[in-house]
Amino acid sequence: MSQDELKNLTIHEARKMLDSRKISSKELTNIFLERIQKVDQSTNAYITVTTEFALQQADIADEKIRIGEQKPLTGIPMQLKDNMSTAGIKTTCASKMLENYIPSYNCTVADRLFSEGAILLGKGNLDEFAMGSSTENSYYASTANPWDLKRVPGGSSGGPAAAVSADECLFSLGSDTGGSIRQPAAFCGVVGMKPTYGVVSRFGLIAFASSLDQIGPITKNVQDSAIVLNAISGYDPKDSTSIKNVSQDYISNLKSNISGMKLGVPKEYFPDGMEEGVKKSVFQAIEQFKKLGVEIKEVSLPHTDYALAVYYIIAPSEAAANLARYDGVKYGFSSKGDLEDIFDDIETTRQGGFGDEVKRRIMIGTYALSAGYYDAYYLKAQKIRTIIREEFNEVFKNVDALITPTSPTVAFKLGEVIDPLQMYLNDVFTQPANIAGLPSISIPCGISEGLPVGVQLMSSPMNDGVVLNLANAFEQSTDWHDLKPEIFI
Amino acid sequence: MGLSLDQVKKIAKLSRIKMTDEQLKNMRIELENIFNHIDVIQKADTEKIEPTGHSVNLDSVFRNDVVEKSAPVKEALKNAPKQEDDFFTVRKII
Repeated sequence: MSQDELKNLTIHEARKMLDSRKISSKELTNIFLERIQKVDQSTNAYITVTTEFALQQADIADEKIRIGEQKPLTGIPMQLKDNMSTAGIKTTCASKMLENYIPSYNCTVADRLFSEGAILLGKGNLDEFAMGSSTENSYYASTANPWDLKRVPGGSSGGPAAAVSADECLFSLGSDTGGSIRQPAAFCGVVGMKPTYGVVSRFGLIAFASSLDQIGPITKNVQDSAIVLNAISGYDPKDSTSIKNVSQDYISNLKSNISGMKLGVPKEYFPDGMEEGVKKSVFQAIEQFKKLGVEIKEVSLPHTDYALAVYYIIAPSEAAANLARYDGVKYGFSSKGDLEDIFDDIETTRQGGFGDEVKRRIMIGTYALSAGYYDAYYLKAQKIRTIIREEFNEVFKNVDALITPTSPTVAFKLGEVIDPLQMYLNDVFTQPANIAGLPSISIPCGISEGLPVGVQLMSSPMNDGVVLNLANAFEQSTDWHDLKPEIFI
Repeated sequence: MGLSLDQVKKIAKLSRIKMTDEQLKNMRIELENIFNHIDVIQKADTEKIEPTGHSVNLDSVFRNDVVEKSAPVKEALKNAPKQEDDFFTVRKII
């Protein structure tokens, strides 16, 4: 397969080739393994490549296809972000703490994808414990943006977004706590979807902030996103926050006629000082939706300004609790040397095992939850969360979905953003969807300074199909998603 | 808001993270900057507003208390940094 054919290959196209026996899953898997070998030294999109396991799975997939028992993802090579537990395969969370950790069970999404016959090529790089917006917080290596290797791919799912962009897999799964699927998808010119909270099981996803975390697909186009969401969504008794009766078929419901739908433009998402190129591309996208017969309405979400602060109380507070399990006793990195007692041991283990950003977030959360500050920070943030959620509910009475930029900027340079607070501001447009549990997608909508721009669509909870339909119609009427980084062509 | 070095030491202790004096000093500045931003929430009027813990309304999930087979000991211990016989090993607690 030529480089040109590979870059145009989608899950949908690969399915046709596999079913018509133009290619076997083993051949396809080998093509991707070779591609990884060729480009991953430049991108660092993978932490672990599972060559042997992938080829074994490909043999099984080929047999299923031979006897006509294939499903939509049988034989399709994929990557999983390295915070999703895979039995017998290292799952590091890009942390020194879990450098040698080998789970004994699969997360539910891996189980579902494996039972469909999808092929695991390896595990994707991320910011340590998914905390970051640039993948520079990985203990192993920073991932580079395939569009410009001197720039970040975004984060925390920078590995998955870069891998899809550089054709190192046909799709990947990311996790999104405050924008970690959508912002890297925007930076790398691919499609990233965060489903409604509870639509995809979190069982076996190594927890960051449990009330915000959600797994979703990173793909080359919207149709592929729907194919993957079909495979991974649905009730899971192992996740007590999993929503029952999710039985939507996102593929057969995928429409391209969106005429008559209403799209809201929240003015708070277009602040002064926003990057001109981003603003221009998003306004062009709004014009495109008008051409497709969509009614555009200006709306207001006055508490948007509080979302970032609310997020940086709730997420670190939940993280401080979730990450308390890393004590160097049951698994993971453990301190060595002459230590006084178990507390000295735990403190030294956490000193050596966690990176700076993880320590920072644990400490923000610990402080926000500590005696005397709980009401002023954690409880107050939870109350504003109610207001933000209600504001969205109110707006969704009048519009089907909202349209905003995914990120205020295009991909920035590696090492350019050093101040933690400046880094946090990257997720200002994506965090509200996590706070309110909304389905949200980022799709390519333009180029600025030679780099991709993403536009974000959000709808009310359980309207994942609405978001996919709008994105699909936009995508079919534009060709932004076909643009690929030139360095690899 | 102002954050003293002693407060940061206390937070580190509560977080069970050992830090050098230099690290504590840097963390104090970073946390102070972050909380200066976060403090914007104090301006919001939240009188009579109920807190939201989860974005979806969830009922408590119950299941029957049935004994199931647990993971084999070897499997459970396989990732443990220190172990002896069938146990995790820890340093002295009391």
